[in-house]
Amino acid sequence: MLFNSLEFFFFFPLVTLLFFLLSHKYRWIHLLLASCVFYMFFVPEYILILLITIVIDYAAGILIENSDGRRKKIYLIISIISTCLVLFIFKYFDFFNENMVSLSARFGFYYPKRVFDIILPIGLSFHTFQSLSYVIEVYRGNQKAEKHFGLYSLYVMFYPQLVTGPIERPQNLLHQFHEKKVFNFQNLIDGLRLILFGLFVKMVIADNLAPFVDDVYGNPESQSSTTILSAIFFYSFQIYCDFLGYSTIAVGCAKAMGFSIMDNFKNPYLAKSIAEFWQRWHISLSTWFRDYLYFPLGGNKVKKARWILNILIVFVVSGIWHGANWTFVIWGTLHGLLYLLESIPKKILKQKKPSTSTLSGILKIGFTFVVVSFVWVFFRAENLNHVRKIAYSLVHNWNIPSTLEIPNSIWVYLLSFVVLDTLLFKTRFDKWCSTISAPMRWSIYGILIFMTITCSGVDNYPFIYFQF
Amino acid sequence: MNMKLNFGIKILAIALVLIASNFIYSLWYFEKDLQKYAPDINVIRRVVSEKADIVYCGESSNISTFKNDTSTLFISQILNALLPNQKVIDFTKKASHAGIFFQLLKAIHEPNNVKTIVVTMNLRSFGPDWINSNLETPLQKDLVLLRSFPPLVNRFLLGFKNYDTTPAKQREKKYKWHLDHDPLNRAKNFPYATASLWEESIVKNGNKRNKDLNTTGIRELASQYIKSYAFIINPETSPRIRDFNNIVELAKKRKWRLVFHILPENVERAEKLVGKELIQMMIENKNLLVNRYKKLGVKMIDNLELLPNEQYIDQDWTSEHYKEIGRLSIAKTIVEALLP
Repeated sequence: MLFNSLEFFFFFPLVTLLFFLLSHKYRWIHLLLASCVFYMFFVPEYILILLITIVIDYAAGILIENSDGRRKKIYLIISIISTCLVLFIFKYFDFFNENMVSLSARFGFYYPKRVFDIILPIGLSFHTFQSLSYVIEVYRGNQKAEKHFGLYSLYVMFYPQLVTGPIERPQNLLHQFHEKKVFNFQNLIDGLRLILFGLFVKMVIADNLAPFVDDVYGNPESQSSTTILSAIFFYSFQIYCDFLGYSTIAVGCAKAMGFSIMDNFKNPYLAKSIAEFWQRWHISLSTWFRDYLYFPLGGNKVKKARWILNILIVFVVSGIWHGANWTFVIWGTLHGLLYLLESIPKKILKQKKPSTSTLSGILKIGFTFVVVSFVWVFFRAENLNHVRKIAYSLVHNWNIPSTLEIPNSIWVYLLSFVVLDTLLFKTRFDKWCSTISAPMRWSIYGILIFMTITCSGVDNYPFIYFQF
Repeated sequence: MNMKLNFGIKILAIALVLIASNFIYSLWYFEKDLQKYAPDINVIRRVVSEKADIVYCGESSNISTFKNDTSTLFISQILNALLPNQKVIDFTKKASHAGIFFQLLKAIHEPNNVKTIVVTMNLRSFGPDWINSNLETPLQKDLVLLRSFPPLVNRFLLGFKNYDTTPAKQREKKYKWHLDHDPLNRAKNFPYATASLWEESIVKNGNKRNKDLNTTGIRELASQYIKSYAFIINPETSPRIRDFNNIVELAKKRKWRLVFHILPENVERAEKLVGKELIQMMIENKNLLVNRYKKLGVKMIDNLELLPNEQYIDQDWTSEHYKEIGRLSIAKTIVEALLP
């Protein structure tokens, strides 16, 4: 089920209302069933895949807790391999085979072409990572193994963050399902505020930018350089608003029932460096990689060469996590290289404190935004040939007149978003609303409701991160 | 109590915001959105303002013309020329079908002068190929603002994608499933259980019967004929039957005279490429439709085998696009049916 669908418009109030009407003893059943219904709106049979990973990691958690030494490690490894195997089969099998076919052809040996060609289960990478996070934390002793199969299933399947995260840690989420939630009016209001804001950024900003970006990326050869440039920057806002929208609605839905899940974004385009960008963008994934890959590899407490390798590994894996395509690998690698390019001089030269002047800050924000936007081209493009076409048109088509007209409304939407995003620096929409006067607050509600209904994009653009 | 009051005030405030929004939207933005997202509104308005007597519902078969045609009049325009005392207005949308026509007809405001509705009955539109077409999404999207709710509600439904948004890959999967599973062997001694098996046999061994099938393009065309026409209409489950039933009901309510005309298909080429079994299947489907809707009081025009191969514009694909003489012949059959 999509958050921006009519079905959800009925689903959310019904599920929230029933949650509070039921006694605590039955709430987990209600939430689990609701989550199943939510997930089965996509491809119903794929719930079985979810069940497989749930069973594997539920059992692994208990086995890990009840054993020690080598056996404990073996259980962890089995659990990680089997969970990742599901991910590999559904997400990477075709990619792996295609590359094996080309590689074997290059070296002159035969590798049969096998194509799986199935629809990727929605949000597979997200719930796989959430499951992995659980077994690793149990192994590390930071989380007790959950004995209640229903509650563990709910931890993986909790509908607000089931398909696109935020990827939660068991320490933050699991215990909340044990707690008796009492209806809190302020939580409900805050949740509704977040849902409204999330719908606005997704439906008004992202969905109105999407057709323009699609047109340009769909046929880059015939576009002027300025059009391509606009599409590159528009895509930066499209993907941000799309993902921010989903994450905010997810946090809002959970909040309305009294659950607290982590924020995934903190004004990433106001970052002054690539390193800061990654502290603000898709935080739940960045911290996942930090905690479960970067630190185990030694983090920065190793020799410089090894540290460089660690950084590159993390960014490359992060790229692959997004999709089975070389474009994602390059996207991740580029971010890794940019991160190193920024960090190595600081490490070697032991640079003084950076300048704190406003102008320098604005320039850094602008520079980081431009760099991130250009790297997004790899993320958006269908393949490397597509990237080449875009780059070629960007460099050579300065004399071609622009054929695509950007409606004035798009600039208005973008401007309104930039203003809102800047206002929300270091805060969140629900908290910010509490700090302003009631007339001002209700005017903002009115404008957002009006715009979300009357200015939303009309074409169906599923959340971009659904494909991951 | 305080909380309940607080909550009540907030609900009231939201209701006021929505009422004000509907007022503002209807006044300043709705018309612009109608023109942008539901341009059919103009034809619907013309039906009323120009006092149309006949509404002709068609898809690309109505408006397709051939480069060597001496007259590029559409079927509906020829109809208008042949019936000078009656005003004919057409609903023409490419890849359209009875489900779309029903929604458009329903949106015709009352009072109006309409007496007769002519609806094209395209045999292919009953098959899994058309039913699972990707064009369904834009066709359905164009209808949302025409629904009979307040303008703000319609815009809300459009924004929340309250139309068929099945992804292309899922449609493709569904279409293939029907080809693989829909049973064909109802007739005695018919050797193929499904369209997929039939198609596979034609692609693999068809050249033993027809030398033309050695050529890749021709083989693909034969395969396409099977995919387009090899199905048996199940009146219980066919969504298209449901759509035509809805039109019949609507016509009864509005006291319109209803004419369904079965479009000509290139049976000559189909027989040559695939064999007479396919024609037999098409005729059985046609007979089912004729019998079913005759019983419901609809005037049926059977044009299935009306035109020879040379009257079809597309010689390399299955379509219902006719040359000038073909369009004229069709229009004449409709006029004959309309005359008392």
